[in-house]
This record gives sequence, C-alpha cells and structure tokens, in this order.
Amino acid sequence: MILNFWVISQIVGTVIVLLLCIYAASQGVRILLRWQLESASEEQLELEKRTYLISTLMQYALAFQVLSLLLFAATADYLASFIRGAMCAFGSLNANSYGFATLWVKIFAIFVYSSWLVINHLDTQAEDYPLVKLKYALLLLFLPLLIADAYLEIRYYTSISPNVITSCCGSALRTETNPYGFVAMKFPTNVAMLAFFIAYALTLGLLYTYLRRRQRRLALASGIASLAAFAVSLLAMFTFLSPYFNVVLFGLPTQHRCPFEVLRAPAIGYPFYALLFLGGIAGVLVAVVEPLKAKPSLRNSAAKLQVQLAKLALLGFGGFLLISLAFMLLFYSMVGTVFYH
Amino acid sequence: MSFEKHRNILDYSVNFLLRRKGKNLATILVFTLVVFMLASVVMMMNSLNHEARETLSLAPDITVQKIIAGRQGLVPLEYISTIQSIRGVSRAEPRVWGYYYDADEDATYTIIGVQSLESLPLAISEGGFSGESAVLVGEALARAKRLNVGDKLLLRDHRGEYVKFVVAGVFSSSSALQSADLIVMPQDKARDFFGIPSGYSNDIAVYVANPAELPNIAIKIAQKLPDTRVLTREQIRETYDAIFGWRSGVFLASLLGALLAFAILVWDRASGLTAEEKREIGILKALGWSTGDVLEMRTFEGVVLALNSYLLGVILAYLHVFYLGAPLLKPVLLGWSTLYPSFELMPVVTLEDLLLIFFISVVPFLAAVVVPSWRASTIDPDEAMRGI
Repeated sequence: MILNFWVISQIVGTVIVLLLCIYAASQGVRILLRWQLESASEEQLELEKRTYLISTLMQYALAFQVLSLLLFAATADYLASFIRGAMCAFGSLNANSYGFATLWVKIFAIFVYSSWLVINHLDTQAEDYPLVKLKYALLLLFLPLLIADAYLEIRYYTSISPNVITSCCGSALRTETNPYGFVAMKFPTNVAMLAFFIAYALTLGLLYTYLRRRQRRLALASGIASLAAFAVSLLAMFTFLSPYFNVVLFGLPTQHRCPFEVLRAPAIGYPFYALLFLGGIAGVLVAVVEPLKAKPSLRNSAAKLQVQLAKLALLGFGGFLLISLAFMLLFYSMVGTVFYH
Repeated sequence: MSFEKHRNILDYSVNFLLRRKGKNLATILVFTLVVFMLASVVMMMNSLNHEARETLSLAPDITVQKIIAGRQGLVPLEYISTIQSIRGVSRAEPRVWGYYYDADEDATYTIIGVQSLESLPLAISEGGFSGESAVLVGEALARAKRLNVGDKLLLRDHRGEYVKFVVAGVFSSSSALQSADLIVMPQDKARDFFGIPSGYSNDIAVYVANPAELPNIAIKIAQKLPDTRVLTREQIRETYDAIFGWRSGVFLASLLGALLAFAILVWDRASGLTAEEKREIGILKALGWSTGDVLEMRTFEGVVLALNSYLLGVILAYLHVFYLGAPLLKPVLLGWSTLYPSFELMPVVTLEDLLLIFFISVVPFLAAVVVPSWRASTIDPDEAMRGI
C-alpha cells in the first residue's frame, strides 16, 4: 500500500464518481418503473424533473472520469520513483496485474459515458422522450463497469509494494510476466505498422465516403473501423509509434517503447492523445446513433448529429495521423530511416 | 447560435454571483483556503523532492558505513583495499565530512574534505582550489556571510580553537541546499579540523563502472565486510521519495475531514436559497427559461466560483511556498528545518501538480453543489413568485 497525495486524491475522486453514478442509477430505477408519458400526474411531473438531475450527474461523471484518466497516467508516472525497477508509467502499471486492467477499464468507461450522453442529448431534443427506457436501462448496466473501475483501481494502489522489482519498458521487452501490457510489446512492429496505416486509410476513407453518401451501412462500418483504428493506435503507441516521439523529444533509445513518455512534453502529449480519443469516440458514436434514427421523432436531430460526429472523427483521426507522420519525418531527419528495428 | 446562448447564460450567472457578493464571499474564502492548503503541500513536497534529488547527485554510487554496536562509527582505511579487490569496482575513496554549527549565523554547515576536486561535481564559478588552508564555499553561503575570493574564514575546530581558512573559490550548484551549506576543504585539513584520527574516515565512497553490476557489488561488499552498512544511491533516493510521499499523504489524510466538512458547507449554502433568489428563478422561468437553462446557470455559478477560488488558492500557495518559504508548512514537512540554514525552495510546478490540486478540490465541490443546483432549478414558477 502506498499512502501519498496522488493515490489518496485519485481514490477520493473515484469514490465520488461512483457515488454520483449510484445515485443517478437509483433515480433511474424509479423512472424506469414508473414512467408514463401520457399521465399528467404529480409523480410523472416529478420524474420528468429528475431526468434533468440524472443527465447533469452523468455529465459531471464523464468530466470527472476524463480527469481521472489523466490523473491516473500522471500518478503512474509519479509512482515510478517509488517502485524499484520502474522508470516510467509503464513500469508502475506493470507492478501488478491490476495496473493495466484499470487503465483499460477507465478508457472503456469514457466511451460508455460518451455514448450515454449522446443518447441522452438526442432524447432531450425530442418532445416525446423516445429513448427514456433505453437510457435508464443502460445506466443500470454501466454500474458494474464503474464498480469494476473503482475496485481495480483501489486494488492496484493497495497491492503496490514499493520494494517489488518491476520490469520497466526496456527490460519488459525481454521478460514475460504480465499478460496485459506485453501482448502489445511483443507484437511484431512491422505488422503493427502495416495495421496502423491500413486501419487509418480504411477509417478515414469510410468516414469521408459516409459524409458524401450518408448510407446506413457506411455509418455502421465507420463506427467499427473507428473502434479498430483507436485500438490499433494504442497498439502502435506500445510498439512502433512511441519511439519516434521518445527519440525526437527526449533522445531516448529506440527500445524505449513507452506510450506515456510523450505526456512528459504536455504541450504535445495531451493534445495528441485528446485527438485520438476524439476520433475514436466520435467515430464509434456515428454507429451508435444510426439505429436511433428509426424513431420518427429523432430522425432529423440524429441525422444532423451523426454528420457532426463524423466530421469530428475525421478531425481527430486526421490530426492524430498528421502529428504521428510529422514525428516520423523528424525522426527520419535525425536517424536517416523510419525502420529502426 | 447555441454558443451565443450558453455565453449569455454564463454572463447572467456571473451577474447573479456579483449581486450576491456577501453570500458568495464566504464560500470563496473557505474554498480558497482549502485550495491554498492543498496546493502548498503539493508544491512544497515537489520542491523538496527536487532538492533531495539534486543533493543526491553528490552521493557516490555506493556508500559504505561502519556499524559499531548498531551505531555508525569511523571506517578504518584498510577496508578500501578489500573493496577495491572486488571485480567491477572502479574506485573507492575515503570520505571525511561532518557538520559544523556556526553560532554567529545560527546555522549548520556541511564540511567536506576532498582528496581532489574531481570527485565532487561542482561548478566553480570563481577562483580555484589551491594552497594549504584554501576552502571552497557555496554561492549562497558566500552571499550570506559576505565572503569574496581571498577573504579569511574563521572556524572553530574540535579543540575549540579558531582556525583560519582562505576562501579560494566559490561554486554554484543547481541545488539551493548544497550552495547554501557546503564548505569544501582538503581532506587532511578536514580530518585535523574534526579530530578524526588518521587511518580512519567517516565512510567510503565506492564508484562502479557498470551501473548494471551495482546491486551485485553492493551484496559482495556486505558479505566481505559484515560490520558495514552498504547503501546504494538508488536506495537513498527511494527512501527520500517514500518519506516525502508518505508525509504529504498523512497530511492529506488529515485534511480529508476538512474536505468533507467543506463539501457539507457548500452543500448547505447551495441548498439554502433566499426568498429573493427563489423569486428570481421563478421570474426567469416565467419569462421562458427552461429547467435546463436555469440548471446551466446554476452550474456555471458553481464552475465560476470554483475556478476563481482555485486560481486564487494556487497563486497564494505559490507565493506562500516560493516567496515566503512556506512558513506554515516547513516544520511539518521538513522536520530538520531548524538544523539547516535558511534556503529558498526552488519553484518546481508541473502541469500534473495543477491537475492533481484541481482534482482533489474542485471535483468534491462540484459534486456537492449538483443536487442543490438541480433542486433550485426545478422550482415551479408560480410557487417561487408567490414567495414561499
């Protein structure tokens, strides 16, 4: 157990988010059971008021979760100095099996919150609350995810013991002890590189064609491709992409494939990852919104939103790709090749 | 079009806040105080950590201390040849050093006796190291005692007699602590000054060519010389980090109660709407504001309050820690502040620290006001304007 400022703040924040969501879900249950749109009863009026509370709570929860993810990465970086053998965030997260599991759950949770908020946004646009049941049923389904997030995070911090020798990025390439981070690390770099460019060509192409043609299957395909591109981008950061940044920005050896290092140059690192999340989330939402267009009262607002989301996804993925290419070029001008391995 | 609307609501919230200065002042005051305390701890902790790391740049790869009856004693110089016989050790040197209390300044200095200057990574900014009674002093110490190159420095040795030294040079250092308290002199002179018998030293500094072999070499030394304590630089650094981290953690844990009390206070204040505020919300709704608009206004109020208090608190904490030297916290986090001469904390603030402070102060605040804000914004206009 490590007791310090970072860990305590993080746990306090997670508990607050969890409490907000449990409260929201408990209110949601009432709406789910008692909702009668046609009724003009006192109770229905009260329930309609409660929907405002729940959407506000969920907006807060999303904002806190984004902050929490940022802080989690920063905390892992900070903890590296306590954990023997860990040189950066990768090493700290690797200290036990909960580290990377927490990270993945936190990232997944952000996708889930955003989807919920988009559904909620569409629902409030329409006069007849067409998605109310779906919304509050989903809210209940999210609870296990949030509880898992809190559980894993607390387990991660409590099971870190400062004396455990962990493998850091460099040595992690050679050892096999942790199932979470290494799958990517051992992945052949050339395959990752190929997958990265194929995924990007496909996703950007699909999003662009969707914007031109507005077809249902293109929307669904863009969503799936966006999810794949997001996953492949993370894979890329664990394999071939991060060294370009690490070498150009910090002069680290190319074996150092740590995706967190770039955050030490905050002006580049944070916008870089923000673009990736923007692309991934907006892209996935293009597909999430598609089935909602079936509701007659939503058709127009959903279609409009879908176009905006597709544009945002293009912006996010395009920006991420451009920054990556720029650093590959810079790397090329320093080293003379982009194939360093 | 929608952006314009949000901007107008924000505008209205700021006005709403400004019209109730008295009521909100108390919240801002307490909030600022909370941020101030938290930020001071984070900044101080960081700065000390930085300082400790800089100081450690002076430390050798491995330090070997002699332990007699569980306490540290003087190391016989014969140990050096034993250590040097271990494969991988590039050099082992005796170190002579100690603390010196200066009654005039009411401060404690560190005196280090060196065989050659190369063993200390110090940048000499003025003068050189020559002559029998030549000493080097740190920049900050030279300034404090108004010493220039060529000046005399009188220090009382272990016999209680004054010994005259000549300041031969001044060095600068990236560490404020080093620069403020360090005096460097030839080793024989230092041994004589402290009364350390010849053939002994305080400890032995061991340098290793290949850092990868460090742990193995440390274990070998401990096996060959069982009456010693072997410390690697990494161990010392981890210990420093753990201690500073732990202290700040304990501090925050004790502040958690205050944070909870603060959240309850905020909850309470946000819940208690005055009749006037109720009427205003009622009129807004009668004028066509939706529940969502009023809720947005109340949310903006919270955010504006939070951001202002946060900024104010962080700025005050910065001034407190880096300009005033953290008078409120130093005794708690430093522990040995009375021993060391006064030194300025180096301003070290990262984006992550600001995020951390934001997270622990603003998040609980916003979470506490969300339900009261919602309750206020769902008041029915007729009920509100009737002034119930």
